[in-house]
This record gives sequence, C-alpha cells and structure tokens, in this order.
Amino acid sequence: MHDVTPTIGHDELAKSAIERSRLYGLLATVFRREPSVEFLCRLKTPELMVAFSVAGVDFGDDFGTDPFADIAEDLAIEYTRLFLGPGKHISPHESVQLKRGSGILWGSETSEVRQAYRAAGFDIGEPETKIPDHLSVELDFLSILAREEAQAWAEQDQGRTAKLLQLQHSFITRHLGKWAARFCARVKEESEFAFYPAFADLLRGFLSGEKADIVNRLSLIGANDQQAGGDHLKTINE
Amino acid sequence: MLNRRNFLQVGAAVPLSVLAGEALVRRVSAGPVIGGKDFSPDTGKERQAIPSACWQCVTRCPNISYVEDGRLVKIEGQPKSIRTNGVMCSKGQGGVGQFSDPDRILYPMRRVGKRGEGKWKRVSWDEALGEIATRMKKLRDAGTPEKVMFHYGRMKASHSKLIKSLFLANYGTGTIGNHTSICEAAKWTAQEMTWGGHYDNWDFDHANYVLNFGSNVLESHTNHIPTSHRLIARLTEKRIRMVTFDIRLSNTAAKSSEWVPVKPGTDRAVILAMCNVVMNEDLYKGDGEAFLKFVKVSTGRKASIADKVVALKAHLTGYTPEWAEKISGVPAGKIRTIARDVATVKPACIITYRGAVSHHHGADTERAAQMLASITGNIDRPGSRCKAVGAKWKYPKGPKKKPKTRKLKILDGLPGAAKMPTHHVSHQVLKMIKDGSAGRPEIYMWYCYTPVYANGEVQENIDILKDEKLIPFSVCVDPFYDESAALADIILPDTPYTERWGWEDMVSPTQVPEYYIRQPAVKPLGECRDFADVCIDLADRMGFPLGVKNHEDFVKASCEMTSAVKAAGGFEYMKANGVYHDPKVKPRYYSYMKVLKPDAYQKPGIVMDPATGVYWNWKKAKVASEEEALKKGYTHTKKAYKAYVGQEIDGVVYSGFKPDKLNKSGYLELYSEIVEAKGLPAMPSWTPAPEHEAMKSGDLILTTFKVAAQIHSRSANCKYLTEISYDNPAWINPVTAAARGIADGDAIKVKSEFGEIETTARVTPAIVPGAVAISHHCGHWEYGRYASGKKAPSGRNEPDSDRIWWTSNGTHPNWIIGNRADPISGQLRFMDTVVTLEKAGASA
Repeated sequence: MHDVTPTIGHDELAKSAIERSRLYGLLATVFRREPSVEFLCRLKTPELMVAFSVAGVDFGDDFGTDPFADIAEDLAIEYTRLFLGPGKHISPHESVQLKRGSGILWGSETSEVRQAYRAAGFDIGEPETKIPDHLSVELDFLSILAREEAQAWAEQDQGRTAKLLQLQHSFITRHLGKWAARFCARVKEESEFAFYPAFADLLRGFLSGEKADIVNRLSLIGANDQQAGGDHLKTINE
Repeated sequence: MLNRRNFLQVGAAVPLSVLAGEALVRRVSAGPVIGGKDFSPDTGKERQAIPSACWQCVTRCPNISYVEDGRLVKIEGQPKSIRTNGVMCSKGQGGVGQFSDPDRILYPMRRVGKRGEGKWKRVSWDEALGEIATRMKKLRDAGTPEKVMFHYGRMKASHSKLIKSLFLANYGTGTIGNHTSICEAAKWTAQEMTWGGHYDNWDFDHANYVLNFGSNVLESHTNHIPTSHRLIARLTEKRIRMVTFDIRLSNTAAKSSEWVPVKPGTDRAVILAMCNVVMNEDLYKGDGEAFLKFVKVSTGRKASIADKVVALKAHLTGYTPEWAEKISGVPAGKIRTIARDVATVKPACIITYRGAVSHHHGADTERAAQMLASITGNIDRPGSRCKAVGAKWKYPKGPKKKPKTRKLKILDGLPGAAKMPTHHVSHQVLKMIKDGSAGRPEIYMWYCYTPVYANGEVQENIDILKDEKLIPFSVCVDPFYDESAALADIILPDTPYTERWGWEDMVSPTQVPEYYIRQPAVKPLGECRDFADVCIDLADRMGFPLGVKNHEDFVKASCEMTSAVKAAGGFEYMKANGVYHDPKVKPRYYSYMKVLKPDAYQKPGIVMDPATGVYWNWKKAKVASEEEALKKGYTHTKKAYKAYVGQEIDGVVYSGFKPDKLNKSGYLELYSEIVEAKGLPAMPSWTPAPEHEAMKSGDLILTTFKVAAQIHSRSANCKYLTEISYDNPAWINPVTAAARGIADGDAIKVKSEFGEIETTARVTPAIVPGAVAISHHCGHWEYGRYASGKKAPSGRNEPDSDRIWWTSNGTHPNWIIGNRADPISGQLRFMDTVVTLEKAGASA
C-alpha cells in the first residue's frame, strides 16, 4: 500500500466521501418510495432542517405545521402521481427520459446501466422490484461507491480510491448526469407540493458539482505521486 | 480470350490432390437455420431464445421471444409450429411493445379521489388483496357470492381453467361475463344450432375454391396466421379461385380473385339465393345429396333424401337470385355463376365472419352458410369448413367439492334482447346493472377487458362505471391504464403476456392438435403479477386453497398429466421446444361418420330418444330413472346435450354432429325445432333489420372493421403497431361523398341516435355507396402516449413522445354504435348502425 499524503487529511476526505454517500443515499430513499411518517420524523430533526436551510432546500410552510400523517398521505399521492402513474407521470427511468434515448421501458440504456453495475461488481438485489435504471437505483449505486471510497481513503488504499472515483465519474458521465437535470426540471414543473421540487433542486445542484469534485479528489491522490495521479486523471479525461 | 467456359475448364482439370486437406467450414446442422436463433447486431452474441406464445389476438400463435441482457428485444414465429410454420403477423412481432410500454402500471393502485378523477395512491399487494379478499369473503359468507361479478376479455386455456374453473368456481360466483357478444357470438351460436361445436376450421391447404362472406382473414381473424398464410400459399401456388363478398375492398378482398361488393347486412340474401340455385339446378347431386343423410331439414327424423330435397326446395322457393339482387345489389347473374362454381369446384371452403354475422339475425346468416356448405357437400371434408380440432390438456382440477355457484341474471341482456344467447350478451351487462331489476353486483372486477371502450354507447358505459350507487366497488386487472382502468377503485397490475406462464390449445388448421405453452421471456417488471397467481393467493386468503402453488406449477402439472405431452418429455420438453404435436396422429375429418360400436351405446344408463334418434346417457344427465328419461325426452331434459352419445340414422348409430350448449340432435340441423320453439324461423331465412327498413333518404349504414396491424382494443399502446396504424378515417364512396359535398380529407360529422363523432373522410370507390366504414382500435384517450398520440397526458417532453410524428390518433366509432343485440344470438350488431353524414361545420 502506498503512503498517501494529500493536502487534505485522509480523515477529512473519508468524511466528505461519507457525506456524499449519505446525501446520495438520502436522495435514493426519497425517490425510491413514498415517505413514511417515520422517515418524515427523521428528516425533520433540527440539525437536518438547518442543513437543508443552509443548502437552500425549502419544503414549504406546510411541512413545518401539518401533522406528519397528513403530510405522508399527501406525499404518497404526490409520489404516485409524479413517478408511478397510472396515466400522467414522469417516468423515473433513464431509458425513458434520456434525450435522444430509446424512450421505452427497459431499453438498451437499462442494459448498459446494469452492465455498469456488474462491471463494478454489483447487481440489483433479487427481491428488489425496481428496474436497474430507476433514479433511486442509480443514486443508490453512487451512494455505495462513495461509501466504499470513504473506506478506501481511510485505509489509504490509493489504487482502490482512484478506481472508485473513476467509477463514480464514469457513471455520472455516462448515465445519471445525462438525464437527472432534465428530470428534476420536470419534477419542478409538475409538482403540487414543495417536497419533491426541493429534493429535485438538491439533486440537481449537488450533481452539477460532482464531476469537478471527483476530479479534484483524484488529483489529491496524486499529490505525492504525480505519475499515479496523472494516470487517474488521464483515464477520466479519456 | 478467356470466358466462363475457360474458367470452368480450369476447375475440371484440378485434381483432388491439389486441394488442401481438411475443409475450413463444416456443416453443423441439417439445413439452413430458418428462425429459432437470433444475434445481437451490436455484439454478435447469440440472444437467448425463449419458446413462448402470443396473446395479442385470440389466435395465440406460438412464438420465440428473444432476450438480450434481460431485455425483451424481439418476437418472431415458432418454426416448429404446425399451425403457423414459423409465420408471425405484425401484431405478434409488435408485442415487444407490451413489455416496454413506458406507461405500464408497475404497482397496485388505489383511487383516492372521486371515481374517475384520476387521483391514485400506490398500495401494497397485501393491502390491495386484503381489501378485495375481505369484501369477497363477506359476500361469500353471507351466501351471496353471485354479487361478485367477474368480466373478462381475453381469457383462454390455462388462464381460464385457473381463474374460472378453479378460483371462481370454488368461490361460488357464476356471475361471469365474457366478451363473445362483441366478437362473433352470432357465428358461434349458429354453429351450435347446426353442427354442435362453436368453431369451424377452414382447411385452405386442400381447398380448390374459397367463397368468403365478410371475413377479412388476411388481416384479422380469430385463427389469423394459421389460416391466412395457408390461404395465401393456396392462392399463389395453386392459383385457386377465391371470391369475397364485402361492403369494402379489404386487403382480403383485394387479394381475392374477385371482390363482389354487397350492401351491408345482406350477405344472407345472397347465400340463400345461392342455395336456391344449387337446389333448383340439381347441383346438390353427388356430394351434397350424399351428405343430406346427416342433415335435418324438416320436422321429425324419418325424412328420406328425396323428402329432404323437396323440403329444401320448398323453403328456398322465394329466395331467387333476382330477389336477392334487389336486396343486396349483387347482380342475379353473378349470384348464379358463383353458386354454380361453389357447387361444382370440389372441395370448396365457404367462410364467414363478423362482416356477415354482426347484424340483425346474424346467426341466421351463419346458418345459411352452413346450408350452402351442406348442400354442396363441403362440410368437414378436406378442403372445406371443418369441425375444429385443438389440444386437449389434462390439468389439476382443484378441490373435489365445489360450492354450488349462484349467479345474477344480468349476463344475457335486457329482457327480450336475444332468444338464444348461448354466449351471453355481455355488452349489455352495464345496462343490466343500471336497470337493477335482476340485482346488482357489489363488486365488479374486470380482467384483460375494457368495458368502456370495447362496447358500444361509450358515454353510457362511462356513466354507469362511474356511479358508485350502481357499482359500489370495482377492480381492474390490467397491465395498462386505459379508459376503463381510469374508472376503477383498485387496479391490480397484471403481467403482459411476455412475463407469464400458460398452456395453450387453439384450433389447428391441419386438423391435428398442437400443444404449446407460454413461458415468461423475462421476469415481471415492477410488482406486476400474473392474475392467475393472484387468484391462488386470494383463494388462500379466503380459506379455500386451490391446491396449486402458482401458474407455473399448474402448467408443469398439466404437462405431466397430459399423456401426449408427457410421452414427448413433459414440462422440460415443452420448456425447451414450446410446441408439440404427435406426428403419428392423422388429420381429423368426417368425424360425424364414425360408426359407434354397440358397446358404446348398449349399456346401462343409455337410452335412445325416439323423437330425435339420439342415444343419450340419462344418468349422466342426472335424470332419476330411465322411465323418466324416456318420458321427458332428450330435448326437454336440462343440459342433456352433455350426455349425448350418438345419433341413429337408418338403423346405424353414428358419432354424428355432437351437440354443445343446446339439446340438438346428432344431425347437422338446418331445420331446428329448438329455434322454432323460440319463435324464430326454423330454417335460415331472410329477416331484414327493422331500422334498415325504416331508413330515410340520406341515411347510411355504419360498419366497422379491423386492420392488419392492430387488434381491437389492446394493442394501440405498442409503439411499432401504432406508428403503422394510428388513424382511421371514415371510408365513403365518391357517390355518397358527392351528394354531401364532401371531398377526400374533409372533416366530417357522423351522427347516429346515440351521438355524433367527428372524423375525416376517406373518399374511395373501395366501399359500396350507402355505407360508411370506420375501423376499430383508434381514438383512445387514456391509453398512454402511443395510443393516445400527442393528447396523451403523459406524452410530452420525453424522447419517445417527441418522436410521435403523427398528429391524429383517430376516432373511436363506438361512441355512436348502440349496444343492440342480434335477437337470436345476442351478438352486438356492430355493422347495422344507421347514421347520417355531413361535412363538419356544415350545420353550424
């Protein structure tokens, strides 16, 4: 194992990777299913609400006043209307949403997404009924990669860290980054409550800086090893 | 100078010793690969080939579904099938769209707003089935299972056995509606009246002449590809003659040797006139005369052939070609010529379908066709219309003790609607619910069916389904959201056929049964579940387990229980091959001529009915004693047809024409005392439609038809199909158009007593004057982006929505078609609606 001495400490890089992982995880949860009352309770902790506020995430006035049970019911209907149908809905699948893509459910893009998971050593869990290119699955994948990245930082495993960062960069470039912003814009247009637009804004804003952040992190791997860092960056630029 | 001959001389001079040893290319199969394999154009990798079966139309052809990386990418015909020979129609190939429709429903839904408001919430299967089971159990426990109405569209073979024969039968409801009355009930009922079984196979392989009344067999048919590809081969390779009577130059008519335009609803007059010619010109002599031995044309059963000839001539006296010309517009000379051809070119296949029978007294048109086929000797012989042969599967029957089913009398139409609705009058079910006099279901559940769109009087269907006072609770079982699902309380997401199991048994055009199965090409997407599996789950929840784990288990058990399939290798063989037929089985013809051995009818429980000559098993008919059986008689014993054994004719007992649904004899009954007892003509007769008799100047008759690339109601969500066939302008003759100042492409209004629709005019001489023809399948408004075009609620800002280049999704004609019934069979009279036509804006 190489000794890595970045300008930022390993712990900090690991910590920020954990933060990224958790944010991906939160977004995956939000778009995975309708929020339960328990989930809303956990969401509304003072720390998290402050953090949301700082990040400019606004859930609207009702979120602060209405009983959680009512909010959960409203959002269950909202989730169904927005993401499930029947009838009018915004399909949360890459193959349906990707500009100039196949436009169909389980299209060729879906296969490519699944191949990306497999190439990285992952696959969809058996009981899971989500299609591989569902927004929540793609977010979950990035969440796991970021979590493993954190561990790699902590273990100062330069090669593994680089590989995990490359995988994230590649997946965002080839998949999620190609359609998420457009999807989020549609969510904002079609929503009746502030909840999903708030998370759509959060997703769009967060994702927009991800690739630059990943490149930056890769460059930090190479702080003491110009050759190695250069190679990692070269791979991404290719 | 070198020329080709010089080159070949070099070849001739080459000694074997000069050639390099072993060949580089080796043959690996007996012949060229024709179907059954497919390769990815991107990677070159062989795709996974899953032998399965179609479910687009009722033909249910065996297919091969190709899967690449978990994705269904292509469907093609099954080359091992003796029914299709590997041919698959556009609808079957376009079935990939059922899998990949982005508007599919993937989770159970419960409405949360007003019914029809479009406000939904996802619920778990447990919650959805918990609610349904609780409601159903309550009705069952209260002794009123009939208050659960189940209404299906496409439900055949193993699906029907599991859902209807196991689940619904063990639940106890007999309030089960079908959709036959909007399909071909008139034809089926007529066949039951005459020769027993409800379905005829057309043996084109051996036909030397085809006479067609109102079938568009080359574009759409209940046994479409199995028959149509044979017909095309016969027309082109043997150059046989085919004459098609139709109001419209369908593609079938266009490919025929001759199209004979006929006024709507008058085919029967033409057929009766042909019968008149055949009898009066003694063209029945020979095959027809010999066949009369097995035909009943008068009361009693002792008539000689000569008596039968006299009776037929007497009945047909008035039906001259000149008489028919006045009614049908077909020249008398033409009728004579064709009658002579069909009687003398042997064998001739006389075919009919909805164009001929979806009319007032449409059942009698089919009976007339049976008469023409009988007197020309073209029944159940090679090259003629034959008694259907299909696979006979054995299957698990579930619990031995079943409850006595109860049913609401709402299946056979409004009082007086139909006298012999052997396949129900299901298009009037909603009217009956509204009427309420025969009770109302508390739960109305529909499966693979769209009561709003498929029936006539669409607005009334909507109004009734929406009304919670009339229908307190409704459940839609469908993979897709459509005009009916929009009015449900709960939607259960069914799997499209690409993701389910099944065994199939559709009629074979070769008269040799073919066994075939459907297996899932891919796992169900989302939380979709095969409804057959759901029924097993519901039965468990209500405490009457059906004894099978799931549909796959049922198919597997059936494969092992069915001796022919088991001998071939059972379930594993069927999974690998998809289809099976026994090569030793000979095609079945002349089944009625089989002479029964005495031990088949001379045994306890079997008596001969003196009135009809039918041998029947009174024990099987649940009659108390032989004495009572003889006293009551075969004809007047309830469901005695189920106990039919054989028919005595001139001292010999034959298999005869085995009855089904009706207590008819074993004769082919052209004269039916059962029909006569209902106050209907005993023999096929001309009875004009009352509203046609009352037509005013300027009135037209609206008819409907189907196109090659769509089925009636459930394929417009398939993108490839709708891109081919997305619009349905109204066909009108130039004479009709000119009289109204209408030009091709003009916006027009079509009005009936049920409402009006706006569409565009297709002015063409390919339709008779006085008629309007509008195809089905178009004009959806809740069926996803492809079916509903740009108007689809979800259809915007997504790549495939943006690719929808067509600007119209057509007009649904059913808004202005009445839910009227053929007074005999109950068939919806799709081809009888009287309408007026005007240029849109003309009356403003």
